[in-house]
Amino acid sequence: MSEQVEIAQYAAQVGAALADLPEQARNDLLEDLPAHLAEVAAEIEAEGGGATLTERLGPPSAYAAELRATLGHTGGPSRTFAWAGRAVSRVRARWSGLDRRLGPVIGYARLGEFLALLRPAWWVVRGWLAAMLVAQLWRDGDGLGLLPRFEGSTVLGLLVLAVFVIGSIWLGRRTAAAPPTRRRDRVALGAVTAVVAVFGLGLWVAADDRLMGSFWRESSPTSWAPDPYQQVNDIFVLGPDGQIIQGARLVDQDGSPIVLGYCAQRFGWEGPNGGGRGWEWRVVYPSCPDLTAPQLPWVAVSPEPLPWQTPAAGVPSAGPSPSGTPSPAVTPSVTPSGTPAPLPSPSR
Amino acid sequence: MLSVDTTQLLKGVLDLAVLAVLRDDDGYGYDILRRLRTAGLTEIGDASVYGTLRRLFAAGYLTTYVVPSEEGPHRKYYALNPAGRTQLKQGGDVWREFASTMNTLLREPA
Repeated sequence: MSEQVEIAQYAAQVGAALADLPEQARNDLLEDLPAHLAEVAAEIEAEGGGATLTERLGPPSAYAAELRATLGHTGGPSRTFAWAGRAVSRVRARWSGLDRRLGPVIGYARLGEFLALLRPAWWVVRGWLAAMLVAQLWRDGDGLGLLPRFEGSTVLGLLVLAVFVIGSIWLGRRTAAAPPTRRRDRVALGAVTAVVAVFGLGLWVAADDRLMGSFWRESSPTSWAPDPYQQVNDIFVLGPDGQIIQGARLVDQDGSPIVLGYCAQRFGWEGPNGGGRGWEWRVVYPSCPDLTAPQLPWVAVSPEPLPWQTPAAGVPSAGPSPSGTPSPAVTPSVTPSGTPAPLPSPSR
Repeated sequence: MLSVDTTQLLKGVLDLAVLAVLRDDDGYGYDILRRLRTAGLTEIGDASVYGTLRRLFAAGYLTTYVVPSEEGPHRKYYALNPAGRTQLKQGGDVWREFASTMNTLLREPA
């Protein structure tokens, strides 16, 4: 075995035993190892020769362990760290293989070569995504377009978009020429990139969802059936006497106000003191100030007497005074099973 | 169990020892090892010295230059730079104080 081969083999075995170290630290350690081993071999030669490197220095694994101990004074990396290091080198090796195999498929020596060409495109996309993210945070995230909008202004949105895209390109050119030297800067840049990438993925999924229509199907399963209240502009609440009750409120089974009709919703939103639940309670029906009451020929045909109406009080009906004989108060309202007081149809 | 041997003690002060033997003369790897062994650190390993040199160099305490050799390989010499000298001075002060404390602690009762 020639001396050169012995040195190269020994150095390679030491390097293999340190494969789990971070690349930088490993390179720092191994850079001069062959030259150093050559010195040792020269010493062996000068002392009369005969001994091998392994005889003089111990097995490469022991040499590597000793080297590792000089890295810090801790006696080598922790197990987790070593495992992570090995995992990273495995992934790297696999990527390198893919890189070389997939490159020729699209006409490049390496896939990475092609991806490097796409970097400026990524800078533009990154700027756009950052602007979208800022716009989204700005306005509580209702609605989602493909352009950032601020306060509903597209012009302002376009300006912000331009600033972000130009900034991203500038940053990209700078970091491509010279990556940030401080670790803190590198970590910050990586974190921002990760946030933007995740947001971009979310944006893409949301946009795809909406374009496919599944967003609407999922959020309102009955949306294919026509909304039965779509045509409702206003609500008129009638009492048992057939009269429109002014200032009525509607509530559901939970006591929550029901806001129906164009006017209630529009005037509700524009009502004093702004949104929230408060305005719902201010909605009274009929809510449209300028809408005339509907003609209801059927209502007054046989209105029930009001439960609180006492005929003895001399108020025969809430309607216009009947032209015929007033209904005799033979059966007061306590016995509604009797013939209801026949009221002549009031003139409307 | 308490087990103290020279190798273990050496770990903490190897940097200082290597800086110290470079104070007066530059040296190449094997030469530095020989100086340390001659000085009494006989148990020191080749890899420890080589690794320490690489680490001190990476940390910016040493400069290197290559000296061509008529016979045998070119040799890479290591030399202290100002940062290395400062480090040697500070480390020396710490060591002397530490050693004197230890000596006091370990003094056999008369």
